[in-house]
Amino acid sequence: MGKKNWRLERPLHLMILPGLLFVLIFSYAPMAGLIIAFQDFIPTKGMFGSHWVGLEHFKYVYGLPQTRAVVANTLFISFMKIVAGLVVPITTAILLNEIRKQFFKRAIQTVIYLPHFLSWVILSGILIDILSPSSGILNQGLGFLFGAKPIFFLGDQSWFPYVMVTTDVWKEFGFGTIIYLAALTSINPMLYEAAVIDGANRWKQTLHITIPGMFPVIVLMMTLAIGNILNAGFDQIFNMYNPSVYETGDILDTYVYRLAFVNAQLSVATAVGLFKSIISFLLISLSYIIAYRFANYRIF
Amino acid sequence: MRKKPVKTLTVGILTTLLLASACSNGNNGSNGNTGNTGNTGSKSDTPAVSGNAGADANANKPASGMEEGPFGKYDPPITMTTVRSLPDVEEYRKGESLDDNLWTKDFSSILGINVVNKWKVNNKQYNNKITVSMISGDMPDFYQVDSKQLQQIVDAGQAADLTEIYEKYASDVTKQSFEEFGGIKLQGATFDGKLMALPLNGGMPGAAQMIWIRADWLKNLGLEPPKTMDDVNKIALAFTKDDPDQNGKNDTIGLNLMKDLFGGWAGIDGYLNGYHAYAFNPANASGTELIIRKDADGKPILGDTLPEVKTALGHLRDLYAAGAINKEFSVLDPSKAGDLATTSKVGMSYGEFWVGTWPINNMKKEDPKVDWKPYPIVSSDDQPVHPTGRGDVPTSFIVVNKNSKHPEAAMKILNYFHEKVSGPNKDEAYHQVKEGDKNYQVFGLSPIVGPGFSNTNQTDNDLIQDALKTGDESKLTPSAMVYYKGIKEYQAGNMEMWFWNALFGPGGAYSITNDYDKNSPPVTSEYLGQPTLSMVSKGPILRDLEIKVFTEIINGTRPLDDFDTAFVAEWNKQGGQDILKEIAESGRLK
Amino acid sequence: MVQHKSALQRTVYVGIYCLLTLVALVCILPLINVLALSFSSNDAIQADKVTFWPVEFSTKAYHFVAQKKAFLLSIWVSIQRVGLGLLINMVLTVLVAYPLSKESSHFRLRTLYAWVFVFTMLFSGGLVPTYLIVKNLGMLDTLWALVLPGAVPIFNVILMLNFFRALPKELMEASFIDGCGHWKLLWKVILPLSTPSIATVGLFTIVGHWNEWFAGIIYMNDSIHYPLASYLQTIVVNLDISKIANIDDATYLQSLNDRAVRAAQIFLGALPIFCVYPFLQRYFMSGIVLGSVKE
Repeated sequence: MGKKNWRLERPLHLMILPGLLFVLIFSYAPMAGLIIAFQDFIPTKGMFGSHWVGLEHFKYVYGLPQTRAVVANTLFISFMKIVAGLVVPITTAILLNEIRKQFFKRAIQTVIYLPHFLSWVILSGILIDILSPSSGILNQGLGFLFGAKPIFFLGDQSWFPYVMVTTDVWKEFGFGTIIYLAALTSINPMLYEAAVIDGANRWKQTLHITIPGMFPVIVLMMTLAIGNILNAGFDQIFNMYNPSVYETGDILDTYVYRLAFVNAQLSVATAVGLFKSIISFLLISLSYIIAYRFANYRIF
Repeated sequence: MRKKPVKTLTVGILTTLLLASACSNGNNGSNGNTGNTGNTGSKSDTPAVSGNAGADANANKPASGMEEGPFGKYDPPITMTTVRSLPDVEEYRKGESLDDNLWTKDFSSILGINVVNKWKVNNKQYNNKITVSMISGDMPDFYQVDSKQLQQIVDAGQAADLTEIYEKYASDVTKQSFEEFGGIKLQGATFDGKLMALPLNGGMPGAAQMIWIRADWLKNLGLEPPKTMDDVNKIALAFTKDDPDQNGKNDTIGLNLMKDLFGGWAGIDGYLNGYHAYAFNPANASGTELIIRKDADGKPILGDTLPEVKTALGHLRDLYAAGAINKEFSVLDPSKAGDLATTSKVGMSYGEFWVGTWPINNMKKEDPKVDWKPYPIVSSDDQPVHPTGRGDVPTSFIVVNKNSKHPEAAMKILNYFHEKVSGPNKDEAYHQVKEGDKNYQVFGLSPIVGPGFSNTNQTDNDLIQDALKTGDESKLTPSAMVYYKGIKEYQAGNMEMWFWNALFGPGGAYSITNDYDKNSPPVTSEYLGQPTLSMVSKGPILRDLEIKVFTEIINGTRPLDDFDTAFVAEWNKQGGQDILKEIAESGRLK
Repeated sequence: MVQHKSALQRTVYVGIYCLLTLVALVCILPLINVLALSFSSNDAIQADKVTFWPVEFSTKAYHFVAQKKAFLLSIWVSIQRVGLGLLINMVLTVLVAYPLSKESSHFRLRTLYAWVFVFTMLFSGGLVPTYLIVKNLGMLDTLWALVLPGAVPIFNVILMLNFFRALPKELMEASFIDGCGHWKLLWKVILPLSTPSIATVGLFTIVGHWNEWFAGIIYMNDSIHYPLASYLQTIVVNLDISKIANIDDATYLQSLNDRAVRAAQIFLGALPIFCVYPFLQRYFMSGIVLGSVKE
């Protein structure tokens, strides 16, 4: 039995081997570098000559008065981005799926993924103009339509996190839609035909065939997003935030950037990075176990 | 799916941040450190080397195959390796590159030194690249570093001791450059009495601010240029409420401000000076370049925490409340604040001498009626006003590798640079060359851009003023000639050359700073040393605190008295005391 | 499958069309802004006159860019990188994803393997050690440094293995009975059925390589070896006004103002990828094919 299994499985091991080698060389070997999180690392002294400090950097960051607020901001912004980042692309994919005019469908699909290619450095400049309370198009539009008072989107603490979520979704949803569209293609059309025969309308078909058909991919994307929860989008926030919204808009990455990177404190930065990795690992493991136990589905 | 999670997760924050980190440490650009170029007017007995390789041929020739002296030639030629930081805009003349240009040609033909660039990287990534090179032990013969890196390199014993080399090989011009202004440049590069690096900047304090005002708006409203801070505040209000551009719309603001709060364009530094307050700690910087002052007992104290700052903030707060400061200042970076000026939305801004070259340089061309003018800062009372001065302590250095076989070669390269760009025999062809409609800053191609003389622009300005009055161009230095011609072209109607007039014209920016130097010298930090340990670790948090409280005081979200409770007290508590203690113990107070 | 529509249905459809058009419009505006900037004069840009239509129309920026050797070179490097990277990434993705898509009962070590790979997505040694390895392998300044460190894109592997799992199992069992080995099964049966997922993952790979810029800057010792994304990164100027000390710095400031040229480069830099997209789009919008094969 064992022999037979080995013979059957051998090609599978062989297939995986090249990928494994690459990962060992380029991912596992460098992980040795994480030790600098436990050192007072000084580049000129190298990784083995620097002074060991144990958990000092972790304690230091933990003890800083702003850390808690910053972690809370990170979780809040990230959580909303995950939710919106699931709902919007899924909805778009379903809507696009309803479109029968191929040309229109393709044009829309192409256009909505364009913002993905403009970096935040460029977009932030454009957004600051659009969102300006005095001259921005958005505020002028709102004022014209609803007589609303101008809103200081990027300078107001209560608005800032939501602006980050909205603009992030706007930039990335077109790209996310692609995965769900691909998932839609794997739904067996016979199911729809059967439903039509049963007299189900489009809405019912969507509810009972399309969404359940996408479900595995949705769970998968959700899990991966959860593993990412401590990354609330450095590039975006770094290019748009300012001291007056630190209270609600400062996230872990921007905080550590100002705290440690500006003055090249590599050890502190590595310690925070390691902490984030551990949290991600725990969350991913947890989601993996939950999905397996309760839905009997292995995410990977 | 947002982004590509492989990237986001794997390389993760560490790299994402590392890569971004260099952005604000952009002092590595060859731009950032270009030394002042020019002429002290002093006599130099250095042999002229221009195109004359044999000038030192009579010097004795040691066995090593090198002639002695500051310009002694290596025969056979040697190779010196270095690394380069690239400016954001790279422009070379045809056939030239960083690897092969007028400097490298001269170095090999005249000095017998072949300079090889091991790598070149954009200035934003220079620090990253230096760090990985340091760790992999792959350093060139000489390279450029900042204060913190220099400290680490010296601690690790990786820098060559240049004390003797300086004595033996530094040319007269180099010595004069390093020793100007009390030798503050040399001091910055000296550790335990040994010269461990070649300083690339420092000397005379710069960064003094002036008030840039739309003179045409003043005229429209029948106002005079400000004499006191009250005038400044009144002008700010008038520019806001009295329709200074006379377009019948209430669409202007008095005083420009941006989110970093401190800085050479739309910063509050100069405004604070009016109330005898001296502070500097921009939101985007490292939080280590502080203005340290002394209290009555001679103990160090942070300028930003003194009560005069509170007074000034109170006035800014009133201006904001009256609508005279842009409501959105807290989100605008210098460039966006610049757009306010270029679209004629704002009529007054504190700024440094270079405001005429950016951001308002094109306005005159677009609309000749626009008339931005610099005015000296003014006082709030009968006490004389002093600007804040910075940049006297060097922050950028060339380190020579301890293992370099020819450590003196770096000194010779520097000598040669100074000879061509700063000394009495300087040659504009090595400084700035105009070809077609492009100006090429060819001095930046040199692997070592020496500090030269930090008052070159100032002395040039005096020469230009004389020439403008007398019409006698004979005394102008080559660089002053370029500026002078620019002014003449502007006067003849070429509006593209307006910025030369703003800089060196009558009543221009340099006339104002020269006047400061003579009559109201800048107030500089009393601390002359490199950033201390606490500055590096706590500086950023304290900077965030300061910017946040100051911003919120100005825009009215906090009461003015929070200055004492939320800022000064907190600053001391959260690590400020440690910084002051280290400074007091450093023995490097003026 | 759509029969006669009721008035309600019609309204809903019109609503969907309008909504999607509106959304698309919001998405395309920034790009139009960049395009307008690239065709405008610098003075107009600096005076903040340009929004969605060129002001003082000029193609100067494009003429300038067309002569810019560094820009053209970097496009060529990027094309090479995408070509090589796509090949390596796709081969490894498929080879890793296929075994991992098996049940534990068919491939006992699969879960262990899966975690070994996923772990690398979560933990990274950071810049310095990775640099040392790339350097010691002699890959600095070569295309390999841009391609090999990320040779196994784990996110894509996970996507792919989930797509593989969604394929009808009966098909594979039938093939096995026919005497197909794993290699043959993968090549002859799985891959032909997976065009939508391959197109999706392929697109991610292409876009990933096209947009990635940090490796280029850190592993290349000379800007002539930069891929386009790294090059573009260096032209986006991050103004640091605190370091301007003298007239040379000040006059240099002026040269930073060429926003039209920057816009032209940004637009041209994204153009190739816009062209790839509609081409790949065919594949992930053609799900019907899959169903008909299933018979």
